[in-house]
Amino acid sequence: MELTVEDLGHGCCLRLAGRLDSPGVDVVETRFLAAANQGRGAVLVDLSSVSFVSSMGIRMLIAAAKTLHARNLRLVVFGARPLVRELFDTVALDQILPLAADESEALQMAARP
Amino acid sequence: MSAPHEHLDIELDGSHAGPERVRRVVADFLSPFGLSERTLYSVELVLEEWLTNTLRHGYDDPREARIGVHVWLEPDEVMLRFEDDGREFDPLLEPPVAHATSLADAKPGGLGLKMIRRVASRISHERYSERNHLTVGVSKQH
Repeated sequence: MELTVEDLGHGCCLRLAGRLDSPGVDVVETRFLAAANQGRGAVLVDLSSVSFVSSMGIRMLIAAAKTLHARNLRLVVFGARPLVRELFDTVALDQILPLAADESEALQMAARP
Repeated sequence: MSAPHEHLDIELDGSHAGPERVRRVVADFLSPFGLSERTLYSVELVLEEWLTNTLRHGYDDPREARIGVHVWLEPDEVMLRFEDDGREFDPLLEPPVAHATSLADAKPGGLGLKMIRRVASRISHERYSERNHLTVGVSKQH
């Protein structure tokens, strides 16, 4: 699992690549949460290069979102591949986190008041 | 060309790399059978969620874990059976976790079993010889 942090000026985009399962989360979680918390604005999470997500991956996303929420900041997830998105739908993740189809939509969601 | 073997037995130890090794062995075993990506994802999800759960909650020291994983194919399903000597645990007795409707309501636990229930076509559990025996079927989906 790899993590790339991209500064968007008004926020940041965290791009993940690989498998977001228990081993993958072990590799990136500390950096992921630290990068999310250092942001001054909304945090976008790019899952377009993530082939597999399990409950541990979802926990990591929710943990980051909760921390940002406490600072009145938003975390928006985008680019989930079809099978990952199906998994998100089975646990109604869209009730908990904003899920966008792509980066453009994610930026619009992040900008909403 | 001979038909691929339709039965796999692995023993997982409690080392950190154990679940990942099992995942790779099962993926290699299933690769010749032309299963859909959705079926393979569901199988990997069951492996990940159950093995993680067992190592985390079934033992005081997960390094002592010895978990047998058996995989075989039936006409319409991929079958997985897990056997462990950890604490007695029947997932079918766990109450379903309701969907959170907001970030504030979202709790960190319970998602793993929910996911197994969602992707499994059948689940059964027995406890005998001081071991948990969990059998999960995953439909061969298109």
